Amino acid sequence: MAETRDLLQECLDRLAAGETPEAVLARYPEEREELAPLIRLAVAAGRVVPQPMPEAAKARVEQQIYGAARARQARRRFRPFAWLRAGSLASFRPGSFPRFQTSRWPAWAWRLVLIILVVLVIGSNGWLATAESGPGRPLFPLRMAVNEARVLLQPGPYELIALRLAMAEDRVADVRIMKQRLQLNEAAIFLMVGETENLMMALENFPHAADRSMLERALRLIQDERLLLRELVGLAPRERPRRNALLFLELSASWEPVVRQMLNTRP
Amino acid sequence: MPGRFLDWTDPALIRRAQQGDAEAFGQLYQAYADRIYSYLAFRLAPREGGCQNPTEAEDLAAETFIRALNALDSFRWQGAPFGAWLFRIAHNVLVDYVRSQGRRETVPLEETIAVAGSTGRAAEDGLLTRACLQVATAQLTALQQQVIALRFAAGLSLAETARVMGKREGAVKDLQHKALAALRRRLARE
Repeated sequence: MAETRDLLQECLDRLAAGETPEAVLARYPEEREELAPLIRLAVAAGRVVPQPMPEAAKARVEQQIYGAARARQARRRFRPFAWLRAGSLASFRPGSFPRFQTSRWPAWAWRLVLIILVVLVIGSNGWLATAESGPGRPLFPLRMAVNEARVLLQPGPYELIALRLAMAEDRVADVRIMKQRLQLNEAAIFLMVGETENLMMALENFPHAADRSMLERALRLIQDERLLLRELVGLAPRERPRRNALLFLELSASWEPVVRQMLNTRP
Repeated sequence: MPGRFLDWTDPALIRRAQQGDAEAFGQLYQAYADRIYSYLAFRLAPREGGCQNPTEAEDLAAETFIRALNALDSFRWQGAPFGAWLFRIAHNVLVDYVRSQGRRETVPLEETIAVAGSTGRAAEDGLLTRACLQVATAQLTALQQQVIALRFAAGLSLAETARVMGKREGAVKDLQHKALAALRRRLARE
């Protein structure tokens, strides 16, 4: 067995160097019978595959990639937690962050900062869910910062979409509560629409990562949010906020077809 | 040149891409797109009737590069070259896709061969259709499928395939031999 596998590899190397299958097999008359079908299958496997990628497809994918690369470029202009992602917790070495000057900070200070952040991110669910963390409240900016840190710490696309979905649902709930309390402000509505747009970007970037139940939740969220936006158009006290709500309604019209299309591809 | 494809990538180009240079990432895409696409197209088994959705492999190729872009900061030159890292992402994208679709119904091999009009002997003589070969390959073990797709569809060398699969060259050589022999038995049986 070991000998045949080595001879087979020799033959494949000769083929890769440009020899014809017949010329290669002529070098191994004794093993020809055993090697010939394997060599022919290897040659056939190389021929049936479409290579190169069709030009139109290549250009279409390239556009998508460039769009994502430029978005990443723009995001990198301000990345308060970038060093966490760049170094990653697994390879954490105090004093050796790739893009962060650490020489003036002793190692124990970095450990302390890291511990505080981890405690803040992991342990913040309860107290950040209080009324004081809603839009316009003192703890709201902290809640948003913690959410962004969570986004950066997600291990994969599935978890990222799950988090984005939960955050978008929270924003819709925030706006609903503010509406009941007659405390609506436009910033909260902007945040709500922006969060759902973040969710849509995550879904489009990873079109196969979300499962069916997640997509169904996303669909309900979008329908709730658009219903809310329609109510807000009627409630707007002045022309400008009314036009903004109408604009959001128009922007969000593309969400539902995208999610429905993804749902159609799920078993 | 065989054996050198995955090693060409300039570390400076990767660093530029890691620092957010979209053009640098575009160059990486241009360099690897064809082989990643071929790998994915080969691994996607044809649907009923031997047809394959032509945009499936394109979508998965796009997702591979977007995942690579999002994870670019985590890439380090630790033994495996950038290309090997990219092929591993492509493999994970494929596995996630197959899972998200549920177990795909593949066409029985004898049916595909009947439709294509080729026999086991015809396959060996080079008359094998894409559908026949893909269906037969889909019936091999996961590692055998991967070695066939990397070696012959993506055109990687033995050493490069070993790097992508995280195995020693000897093990890949053995796997390659067993995979081709199993493929031959499958096709010859029909």
